[in-house]
Amino acid sequence: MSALLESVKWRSRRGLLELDLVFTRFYAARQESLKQADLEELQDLLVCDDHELWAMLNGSKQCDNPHWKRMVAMIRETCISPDSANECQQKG
Amino acid sequence: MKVAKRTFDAVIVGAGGAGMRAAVTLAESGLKTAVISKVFPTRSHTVAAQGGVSASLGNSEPDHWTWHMYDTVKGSDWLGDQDAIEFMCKQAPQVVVELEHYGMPFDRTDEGKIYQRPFGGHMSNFGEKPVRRACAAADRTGHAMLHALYQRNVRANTQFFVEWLALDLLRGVDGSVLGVIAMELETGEVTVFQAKATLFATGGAGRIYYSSTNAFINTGDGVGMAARAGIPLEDMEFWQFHPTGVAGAGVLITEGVRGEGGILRNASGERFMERYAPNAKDLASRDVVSRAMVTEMNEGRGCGPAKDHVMLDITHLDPKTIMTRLPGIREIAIQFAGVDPIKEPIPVVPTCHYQMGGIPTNYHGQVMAEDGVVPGFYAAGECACASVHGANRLGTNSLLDLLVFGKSSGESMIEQIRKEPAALPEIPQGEIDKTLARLNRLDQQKQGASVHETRLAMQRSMQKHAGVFRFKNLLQEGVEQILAIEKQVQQTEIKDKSQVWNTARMEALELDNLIEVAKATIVSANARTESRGAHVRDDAPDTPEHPDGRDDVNWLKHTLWYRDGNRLSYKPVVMKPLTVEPVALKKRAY
Repeated sequence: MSALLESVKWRSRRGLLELDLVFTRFYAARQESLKQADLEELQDLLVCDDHELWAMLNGSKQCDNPHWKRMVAMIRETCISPDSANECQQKG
Repeated sequence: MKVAKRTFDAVIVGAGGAGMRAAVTLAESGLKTAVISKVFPTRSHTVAAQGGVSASLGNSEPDHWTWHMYDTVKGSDWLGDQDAIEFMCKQAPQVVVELEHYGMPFDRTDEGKIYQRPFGGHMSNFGEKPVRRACAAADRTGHAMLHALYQRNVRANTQFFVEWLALDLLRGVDGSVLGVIAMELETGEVTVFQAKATLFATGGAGRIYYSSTNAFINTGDGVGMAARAGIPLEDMEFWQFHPTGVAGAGVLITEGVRGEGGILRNASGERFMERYAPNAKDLASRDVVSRAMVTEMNEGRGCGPAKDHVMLDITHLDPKTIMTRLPGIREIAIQFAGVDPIKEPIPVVPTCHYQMGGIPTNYHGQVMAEDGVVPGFYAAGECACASVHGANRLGTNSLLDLLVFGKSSGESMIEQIRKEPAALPEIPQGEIDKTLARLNRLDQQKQGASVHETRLAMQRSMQKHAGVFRFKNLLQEGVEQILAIEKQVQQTEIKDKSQVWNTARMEALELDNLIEVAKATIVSANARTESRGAHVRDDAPDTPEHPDGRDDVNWLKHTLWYRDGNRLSYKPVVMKPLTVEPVALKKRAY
């Protein structure tokens, strides 16, 4: 479990600074409560390309992969401001 | 500790654009090629490059490599080596077309040619008017480049060692480079990668600064390893800053925001750029805006409790304009500054963006020390200093640098490898022991310094003492402070001693590399008493004798910093191109 958490945290170090910052927030808030199943889903999500991942997390792109939806929602709920510009655009 | 050994013809450290371009050349020639990367290749920082790659294809209007060369020399404030700049600009069309053939999805004109757009500093006819020279794949050029190169490498049977951290360069008794020693993250196992030729393509070290646009992986691993192995570092005082990074986060706010009417304000709400650039105001050039911001903060007019940022205000714009023209920027402001820019201004600060200096090379990618070429050692991309960017890099020349010098390094390595005898020389045990001792020290350290706190102290010190606008007394103070922080780096302690996926150990080892870059930067900057390109000193102002503070009589030379004793030496700038007339010295004015 600990090794899985550490490997997932390492894979959360990305080429885009935006993602580094989001994942820093995510682990600060959720690290203690993440279960094995969460980490496995996260590991799966982290195979995504950086731009695609950032677009899903900031809401400018819908997450179509059913295996990723729960984790994308969890990260968004934890790290993404509800005032998100993309949310506003979609609502508007 | 038991150390396994693997042998290759070529070992490349770093799987961004430069490393993967070199690997294509090597692997396609049939050589046994390994690429070591601490992250999956397509997640290298090259992915963040948006603007494009420059090449004088002339697809939209007349263009010529000599015009590109002129712009690059001028952009470098004449610190770039003109032989390397000629080589790069001349090669540009070929490497871009090769990349297209690798499958790079460049944007197209209606006729099906590669679409080109204008970019700052790129002009036609020796500075006459802007020219369309940047080839792009939408705003994801770096991303597309990484994917094209990765696929090509897979096809060529390049062997990737992903999630491995290179620890140190291995040198023979004669000084030649024999490979690297690296650690696998998953197991903590240490392995020697011996090769006939070794290339560093490890990217920049922008994380030495507190405010940086760079991803967390940009820790200057290759630069730190080279310094520890006795290789000098060239022109490390030159760092490109972007004026508007989100304070505390570093994420870039594009110049387009000021183009849409954004205004920079100090703590009292004053539009301070009116005092510094009465005509251009907030749309003055990057360096002018950055320096004005720093002056406001240094004179106590910055915002926030620490007076350490200014505000970028777009609240006067029509919300519809913000929603339609700047949605991505609004997203960044909300997520990383915690403000909705429709209602509140965005806190911003000049932010480190690109490392112009690095491991000294010639235009063949061969690493150059004081006494000439270092046999078996090559460097390319942001970790290297060829030097094509000199004191200041032009936009879109960084992706070009990756392609041209990745390729030329690969070709030079092939030439060298083919001449080598089949048997590999013995690696001195002392070389391996040095790394093992460093790992052992880290594991055994008691009551040591926190990696996080020490890194933060270094980043804050670099931001304050060697930022975008430099002051004599701050530079001197910064040298002392960074050398004191180095002592803490030598005593970092990690609580987690496990072998498997020990990210705490990785971060401690990265800090060992960052501190070498920080020392090289502050010592080199303190010594260079002129202003040139991105190195701007308060005590080297614009005078008739020294326009913009540049002093060609005393400072038209490259800095070389040596880790041993923090020693500096200098070498001349190559003012003679390969085949054309030199671009003569003059004031850099746009």
